[in-house]
Amino acid sequence: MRYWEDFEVGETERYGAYEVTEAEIIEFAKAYDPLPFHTDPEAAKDSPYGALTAPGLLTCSIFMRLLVDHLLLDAASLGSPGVDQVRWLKPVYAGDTLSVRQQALSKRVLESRSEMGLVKNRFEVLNQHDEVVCDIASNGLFARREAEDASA
Amino acid sequence: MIHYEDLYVGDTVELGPTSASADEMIAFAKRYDPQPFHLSDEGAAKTYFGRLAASGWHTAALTMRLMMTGRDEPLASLGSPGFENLRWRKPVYPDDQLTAQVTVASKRLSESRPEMGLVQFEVETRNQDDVVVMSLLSTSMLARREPG
Repeated sequence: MRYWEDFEVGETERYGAYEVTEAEIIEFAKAYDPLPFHTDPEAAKDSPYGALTAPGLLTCSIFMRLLVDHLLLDAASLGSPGVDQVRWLKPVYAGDTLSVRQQALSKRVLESRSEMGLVKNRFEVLNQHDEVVCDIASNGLFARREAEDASA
Repeated sequence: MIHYEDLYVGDTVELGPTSASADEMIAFAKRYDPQPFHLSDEGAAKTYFGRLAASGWHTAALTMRLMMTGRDEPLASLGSPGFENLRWRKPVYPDDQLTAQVTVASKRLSESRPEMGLVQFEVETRNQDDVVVMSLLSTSMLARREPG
């Protein structure tokens, strides 16, 4: 179980492998982001991207799945107040395999709730060519081990 | 189609409502955010949420649905370079009626791509009690009616 104390500022880790399929892109896009270059492989050929591309929020959702599997299900996670910045830098195409590189940027104990701390992380989502397709600066809340021990 | 030229700084529209059922929230979470409080009432009972609540990314996706389909005419969107300051302010529960208040915060022409401009939207997603559940500053690439 990972607590707030276990995040080292500057430390990086790399994880995950998620293959994005055409079917998943079309299903997600029809539900949430129905632009032709996300929903229609033929129309996408004539778009600036040249082929069907994943909605940006699908890339973020896949990032979330990789984060949950790698970290959050085995951490004293208390959720996230939000995301400071997301940049979609390159298109994600059907057949791409996505992974995550995570780096802790800073951390602090919450003044209002000293039993938890905030960690600011940078997450880069990479494709199989090691290109960064998405750059995310996000915030996570984690319980402090010391607080847990004191209440045990 | 709504093009870059059709939007003015300060313009505000209210889009929606839309909603997601408990089944949809669970299906989304099983695929993308399988934490217990997004999968069942039982898993959420002893957490901040109290009962089944949507993944924050699902709320973001539902807001995107409103932005893309909620207007009388569609946006001539060429995609998005990203967004800033996304805040998940309150939980979203099954069948909450979500609306999005979308305000044009700024706009500028693209230097590298004369066929489009960049428009920043301030977005507030509210539930049926008029409580803001999520907010963000989103950027869209919109086609110009008359490319420069």
